[in-house]
Amino acid sequence: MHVLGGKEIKGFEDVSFSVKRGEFLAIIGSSGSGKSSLLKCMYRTYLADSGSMLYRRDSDNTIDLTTASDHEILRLRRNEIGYVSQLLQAVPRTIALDVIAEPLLQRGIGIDDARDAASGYLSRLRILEDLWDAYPSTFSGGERQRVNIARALIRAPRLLLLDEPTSALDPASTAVVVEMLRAVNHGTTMIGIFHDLSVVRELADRVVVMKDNRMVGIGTPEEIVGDRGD
Amino acid sequence: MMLTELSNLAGTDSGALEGYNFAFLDEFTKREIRRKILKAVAIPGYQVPFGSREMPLAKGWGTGGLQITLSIIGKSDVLKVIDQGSDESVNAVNIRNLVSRMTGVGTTSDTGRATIIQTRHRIPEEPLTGDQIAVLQVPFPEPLRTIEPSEQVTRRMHAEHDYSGMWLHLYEDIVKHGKITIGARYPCLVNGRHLMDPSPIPRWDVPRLHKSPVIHLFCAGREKRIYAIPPHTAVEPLEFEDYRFETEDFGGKVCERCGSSDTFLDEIIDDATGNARYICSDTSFCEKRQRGEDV
Amino acid sequence: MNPAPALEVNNLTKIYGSGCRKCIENTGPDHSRNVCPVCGSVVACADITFDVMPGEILGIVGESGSGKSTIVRCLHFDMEPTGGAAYLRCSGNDSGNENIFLLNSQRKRAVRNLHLGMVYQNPQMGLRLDVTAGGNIAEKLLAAGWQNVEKIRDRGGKLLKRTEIPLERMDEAPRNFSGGMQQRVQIAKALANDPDVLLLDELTTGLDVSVQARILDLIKEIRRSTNAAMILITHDLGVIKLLSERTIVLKDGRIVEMGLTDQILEDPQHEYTQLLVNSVL
Ligand SMILES: Nc1ncnc2c1ncn2[C@@H]1O[C@H](COP(=O)(O)OP(=O)(O)OP(=O)(O)O)[C@@H](O)[C@H]1O
Ligand SMILES: Nc1ncnc2c1ncn2[C@@H]1O[C@H](COP(=O)(O)OP(=O)(O)OP(=O)(O)O)[C@@H](O)[C@H]1O
Ligand SMILES: [Mg+2]
Ligand SMILES: [Mg+2]
Ligand SMILES: [Zn+2]
Repeated sequence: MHVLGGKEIKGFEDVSFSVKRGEFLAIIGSSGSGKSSLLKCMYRTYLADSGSMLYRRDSDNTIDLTTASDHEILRLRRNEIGYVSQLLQAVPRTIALDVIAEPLLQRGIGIDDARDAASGYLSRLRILEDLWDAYPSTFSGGERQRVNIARALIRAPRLLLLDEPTSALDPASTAVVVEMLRAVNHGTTMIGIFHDLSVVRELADRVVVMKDNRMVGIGTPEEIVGDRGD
Repeated sequence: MMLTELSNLAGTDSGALEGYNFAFLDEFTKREIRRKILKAVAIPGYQVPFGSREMPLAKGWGTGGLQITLSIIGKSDVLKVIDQGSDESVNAVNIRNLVSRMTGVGTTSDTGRATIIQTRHRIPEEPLTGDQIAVLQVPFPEPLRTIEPSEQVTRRMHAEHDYSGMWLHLYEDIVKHGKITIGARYPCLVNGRHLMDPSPIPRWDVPRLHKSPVIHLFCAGREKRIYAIPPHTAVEPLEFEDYRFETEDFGGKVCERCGSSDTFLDEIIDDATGNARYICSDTSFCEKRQRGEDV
Repeated sequence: MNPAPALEVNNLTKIYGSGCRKCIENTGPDHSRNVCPVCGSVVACADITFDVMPGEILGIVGESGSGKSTIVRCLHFDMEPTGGAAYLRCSGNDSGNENIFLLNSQRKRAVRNLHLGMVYQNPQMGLRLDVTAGGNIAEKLLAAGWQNVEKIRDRGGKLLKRTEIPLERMDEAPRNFSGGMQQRVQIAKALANDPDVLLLDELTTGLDVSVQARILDLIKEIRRSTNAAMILITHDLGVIKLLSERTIVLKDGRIVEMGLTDQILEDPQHEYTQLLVNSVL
């Protein structure tokens, strides 16, 4: 029996919600309200103090991300859960193409195939071909952020966590990224933090609102963003 | 009491010098050495420590070989002693005379007639038989000493069959010189287990230890070690698949005395002409060939 | 279903000195010391338990004297642990279910020659400086039974190429090599027999930055191209961040924290780890 994957997160200072498979959940809220912390807890970069986060795997077994072993989390990160950080972590001395190809190499895919796939993402994200074999540490913030996103998308994760993926981008690049995220396979569930409400309107199925480390609302973009009178 | 009787018996026997125990060593010492020989035979190639005695001979001149010979010799034995192939070198003559006077046994230079052959640096050319015993004088019993100064460590290496250091030594030799340059004292694996120093015999003699019908007894008097190759035991020089062990090549030279082309030759530089001459290192063998005997 | 760890270590303890019954309880991070006040023994490490997966790099960080080298040197049989067990579960190792610390010395040597590779903090410990670079690699191959000089040199040449040592220096002794080159020869030697577990002790310490960077890249390449489990010791958090996915934090011979490297760096739980992380930033 195949049940659609669904994810449930309970109790992060009263944060409780669940996300269905393929759903796009946006998180909004003022600076310092705990959005990034919440996302990092899901990725286990932060350890949750209490509560549970239940993630339903492909195989239909459910795993609590707060108590899973480090090895299990690493396996999930390698195969199922992607994360795009707010600040790009550039990989030193590695050209853009290989930064993106690396997750595939880790899975044992050959270098040529991996670079092929990586160049596909780079062109779709409108990174100039001249830059493909340059070091991302020399890139502009926007270019770096796009490399970052490509690196996460190339894994075809089942759950993608996005921490302000468009914050460093100009409107044109933002449009490219939004288009890209919309085009992501419907099997991928996304949880993303956004400041730009127009992006939220375009992408999100539902929106969570954070304030002072608490969740203060959840609803459709129309309900939430509409309520705030944007 | 018993012992005194024994020694009196031996001492008064034909030819042996009066006032000494038969074969010079006292019976306790002989028994100790025989026990150690038995142990050495039981563990081919393993160096057995023993209580080396003071001998009427300077250390380093064959005191080890002499102690073995004196411990195993009996009245019916016939002794041959050679030094680098020669029965007539001073050292060989002295040892032969000493044993003869202390036991009264007969001596010979004929390899075929001897029952015990004590030797330094050579194995006779004439094939030995299972009735004979070869006793080799050994200056340095430890084959690993060239690569490892510590006795404690070399013992561990033998115990664990850890000879990679010696292999590395051979590898480095090949890298530096294009071939293995070890001449005498070529390291050999005995019975697939213990690495052994065959004493400073030339490489020429090494293959003749392999599965030989003869028992070979080795003894280092100064270093107090006995080891043995029992009859029909595998003795394999260390070699690589692509850098094989090779015996000395005399480039087609023949012995100028007997005409042999299949013996280990000594090169002698003629003082007058400066020319090199070649003669058999095994003098008794050479003489036999000169007499036309079939050997 | 899930892959088994390549190496499992349980309660590894090493005490230098006679030791007494109070050694363990009187030392450790809570006492800020590793010397037993009763008997004066050094508790270099105690109750160390962890595992490493094939293909994983496990980082070990901690201040000088915290016991990092002691752990890997026990695992490499360079010294006898006082207590604890380790299991090496890799194909071709017939002692997979035996505590490797209890094997006889001949079998330990076989495990070391066939399944382990070590890069020492100090190249003098890992290399015979007067034996050629190629010979240093050959030693490992010879110990594993290789008997063909050409094949040995071929393998040695490939390893040196991979670690960026010019081939023409293969027959030179590493005594006169630079520190970075010596470290590369050590790595080549450690890789000689395609080890299942690689022990890397401070492999970039004391090298200048550009040399460090290239050695770290080399380790990444090794991670990509082999399935070796690696233990990477360093006191440089940058190295850990770059290379290891999981990290152990050691203090006064004890594990004070173990977790995903990003969690250790961004959300350290133990007071000492917090200090360590903050003193870098
Ligand atoms: N590693 C940390 N250690 C200590 N405090 C932290 C840590 N990470 C976050 N915080 C604190 O937790 C609170 C929430 O931070 P968080 O980064 O989650 O906010 P945010 O909602 O993502 O804000 P922004 O919109 O500015 O990115 C802040 O007060 C922050 O200072
Ligand atoms: N042979 C020895 N005898 C006594 N004490 C020792 C010995 N070797 C190490 N120690 C002690 O054991 C403790 C741990 O040493 P170890 O070398 O494992 O530390 P480390 O974490 O590797 O340090 P570093 O970062 O300086 O290399 C130290 O207190 C050290 O002084
Ligand atoms: Mg944030
Ligand atoms: Mg150390
Ligand atoms: Zn002749």
